[in-house]
Amino acid sequence: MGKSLTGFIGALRKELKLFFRRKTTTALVVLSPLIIIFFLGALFSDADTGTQRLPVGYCDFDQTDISASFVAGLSNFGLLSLKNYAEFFSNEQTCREFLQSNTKRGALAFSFVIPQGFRDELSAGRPQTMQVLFENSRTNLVGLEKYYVEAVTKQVSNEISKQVITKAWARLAEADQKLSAIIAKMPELDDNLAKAQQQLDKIESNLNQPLEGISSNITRDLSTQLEGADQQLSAMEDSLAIMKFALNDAADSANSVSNGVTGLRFGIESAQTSINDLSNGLNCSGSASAACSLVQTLKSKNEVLLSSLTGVSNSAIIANNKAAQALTTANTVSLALSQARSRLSTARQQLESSQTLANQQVQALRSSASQQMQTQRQNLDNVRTQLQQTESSMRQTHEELAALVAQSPESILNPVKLEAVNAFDEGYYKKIDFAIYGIMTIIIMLSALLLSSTNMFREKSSSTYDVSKISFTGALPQALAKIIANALVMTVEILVILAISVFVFGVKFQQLGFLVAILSCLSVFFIALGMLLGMLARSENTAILSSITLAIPAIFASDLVIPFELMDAKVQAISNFLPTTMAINALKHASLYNNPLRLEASFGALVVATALAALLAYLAMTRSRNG
Amino acid sequence: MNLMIALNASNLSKSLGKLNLRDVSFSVSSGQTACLLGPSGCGKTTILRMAAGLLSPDGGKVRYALEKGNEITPRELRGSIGLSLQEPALYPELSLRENAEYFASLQGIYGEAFSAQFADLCLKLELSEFAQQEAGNLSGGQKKRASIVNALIASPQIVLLDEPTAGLDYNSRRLVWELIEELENEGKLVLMTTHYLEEAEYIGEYLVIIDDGRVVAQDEPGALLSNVLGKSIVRAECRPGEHFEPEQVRSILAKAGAESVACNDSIVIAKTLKPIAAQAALEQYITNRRLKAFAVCRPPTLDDAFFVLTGRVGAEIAEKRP
Repeated sequence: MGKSLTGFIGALRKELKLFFRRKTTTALVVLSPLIIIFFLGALFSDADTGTQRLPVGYCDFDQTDISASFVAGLSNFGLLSLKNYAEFFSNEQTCREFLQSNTKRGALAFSFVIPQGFRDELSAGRPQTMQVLFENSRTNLVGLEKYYVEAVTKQVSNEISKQVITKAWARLAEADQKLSAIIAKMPELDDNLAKAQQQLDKIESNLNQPLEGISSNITRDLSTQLEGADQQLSAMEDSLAIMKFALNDAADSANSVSNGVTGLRFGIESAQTSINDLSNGLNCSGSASAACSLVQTLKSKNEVLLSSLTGVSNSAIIANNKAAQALTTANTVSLALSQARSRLSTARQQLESSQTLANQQVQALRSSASQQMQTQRQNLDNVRTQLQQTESSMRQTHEELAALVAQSPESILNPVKLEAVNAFDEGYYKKIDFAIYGIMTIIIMLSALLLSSTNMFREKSSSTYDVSKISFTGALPQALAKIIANALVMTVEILVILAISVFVFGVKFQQLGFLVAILSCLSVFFIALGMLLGMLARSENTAILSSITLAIPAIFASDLVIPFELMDAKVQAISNFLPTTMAINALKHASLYNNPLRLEASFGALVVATALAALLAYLAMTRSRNG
Repeated sequence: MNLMIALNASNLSKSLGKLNLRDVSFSVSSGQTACLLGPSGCGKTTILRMAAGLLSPDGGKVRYALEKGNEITPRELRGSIGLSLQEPALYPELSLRENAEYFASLQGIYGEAFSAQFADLCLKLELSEFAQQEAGNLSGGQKKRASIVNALIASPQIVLLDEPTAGLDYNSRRLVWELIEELENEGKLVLMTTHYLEEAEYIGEYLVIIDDGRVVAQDEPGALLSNVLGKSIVRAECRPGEHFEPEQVRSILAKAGAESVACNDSIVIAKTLKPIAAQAALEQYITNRRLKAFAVCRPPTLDDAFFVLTGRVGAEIAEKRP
């Protein structure tokens, strides 16, 4: 066996013997972890909290279901013990002062006053502010207390909001029904509007059509009538002229007749004298001869003719008179006709003038009416468009409103329902299952650091170290022996911790081999670090204090006490490089997350850190040996 | 088979706190026991630690010269040095044997070789019956001797002992002395520190007297005494409550032919070739001063030389030990 190996084995045996002979150290190393794990295990177990409660004082001057709901909500948190002080005080101010005084001197964890009319103000839609005074010197509790109060406030506010929304919902449902009714009438309105538009079109059409017709018809009729009248007048004048000519002819004829009659009469009377002479000649006085009869017949007929001629003469005279009268009348009529023609001409002029004026007025009226109609049409179009848009909007509103009121107020208040499903079944896992990795890390860190730093300091400060330094066995085997011996002790401790975790706290581990390896590696890191501290320390107290000084930040930065994500950025950066963080990550990835990649990364980083620490410890020992 | 080794310390200097070691040079060879002698805090242990390679000197060097002529540093010689420090190098929780076993293992010694050596050393230092006892339960003297066992368990060529008999009773001291003589006889190089003048005088083949961080004298004991005080001295000591007047005493002795006078309030040592005259003059002074002291004329001792060299008496430095 080589001398170095002999030295290494001898040193290893010595270290182990020393560990087991040093009763106090052994007890501390064995018992401390047990105490810590039992304590932290109990701390992170899911058992009920202790009997000590946080005292909370309040004054309920409202005494309504809302204030009772608020208080009841807080009372549901088992950690709080609520007491109402309202009965001891006559007014809010004195009660508030009492609560503030007691909160500020630490007798109450927090306090609040529910003022009178609290609910009424809320019901009236006026938000209320309720001041809650927290005793915030216990920084680790005040966050929880605020969470409780905020949770209950939210719960009560939700309840109030729910009531308000339920009422609003009813109103909205009514409004929706009315809207539905309006919408139902919208087509009718639209039809009416269309009809109105049609009528407007018709009116406009009529406005264009009749005005042209009336104007032209009237003018045409009047012109026609005037033309007719003119023609009639002309006809009448022609007739009158003919008539006058005829009358003149008649008068001439009558004169002619009269003259003829006179001649005739003379002839007849000559005939009569001849006949009478003949009859006398025939002395047909008492003779009935044929000649006398014929003369007699001629005489009778001559007399009749004479008589008729007398009548004709008279009639001709009368006709002549009458023709004269008619001619006079015709002249009168002719004059009247001239006057009528003159008036007709005047009327024609007036008609034309009136027609022009009327046309102008009609044109102006039509233009104005057309513009107004156009405007009205546009208005109607706009109204219709607006009506259509309104209808569309109303329909959309109705649909939305219908969809809205179809929802429950609860779904509006809390539209997103949180269904928190844990990746790790709560029925199977307990808090200790997640915290155990931090707990084990802390225990290993404290034990290894204190064990090795004090051990190293004792060694260094005793002459045994000096003697060992000049021995054949170099620093490396001795350092290795020390590390391995301490690591063996720590491995036993690791196994004990794992056993307690499993059998006492029921922790569920996976990949136990990895866990032991990671914890052993961590223990080697802190053993090496402890050796380094022990080498650098000038007293055992310094070694212990420096170990604790290093351990405490590592504990707080280990994610066990304060979540990593809540740490300051600089602390996070430091925490990332802490072997405790690496170990916790590696342990979790091995046992909890079953994530080989992250496990390898964290474990790898831990191994590197451990190697560095061991190297530093070795260098410190070598430096010490070199004087 | 033992090698011939010589320890050469040359111009060593080291500052450690109040200690200011300077220009220390001496040499020790195999088969020789050298004693570093001096008052507490003078730097003896520091020199020993430098010789062991536990401390590096600020200046100067410690080298071990081998037979072949080459020189090596103490660190290169590790494993061949047995070291016993003032504080016993023992783990109190381990038995004496376990302690020795550990230190033997560091030197690669185990099994029968260890057992034989351990038994031999225990026998020589009368520790056999305590071999299985925890070191913490041993007496101070037993611990001291056990520490020497640990130093010698691997039969080192160089043995460095820092006050190996401090606090030991006379019997134990004799055992240690005998062991050292045996080592010396075995041809080993032994360098030890002591504040016991008689011990140094008894076992030291070479003395290095150190005071205030420097070597004030070094030589073999006889030569050292001769060089410092000659063949005979006149010495007088006051009783408690009395005191000399150093200047007057020096003047009287100088007139009486003394070569040199070392004197303080209570001790006068005069180096002279005319001891009778010096003794008479000193007695005359004592009588005149009506002191109860008396002057003697005798060959010088190491204590006398120590007083002359350091102004301190051996008992004084011994009493000052913690």
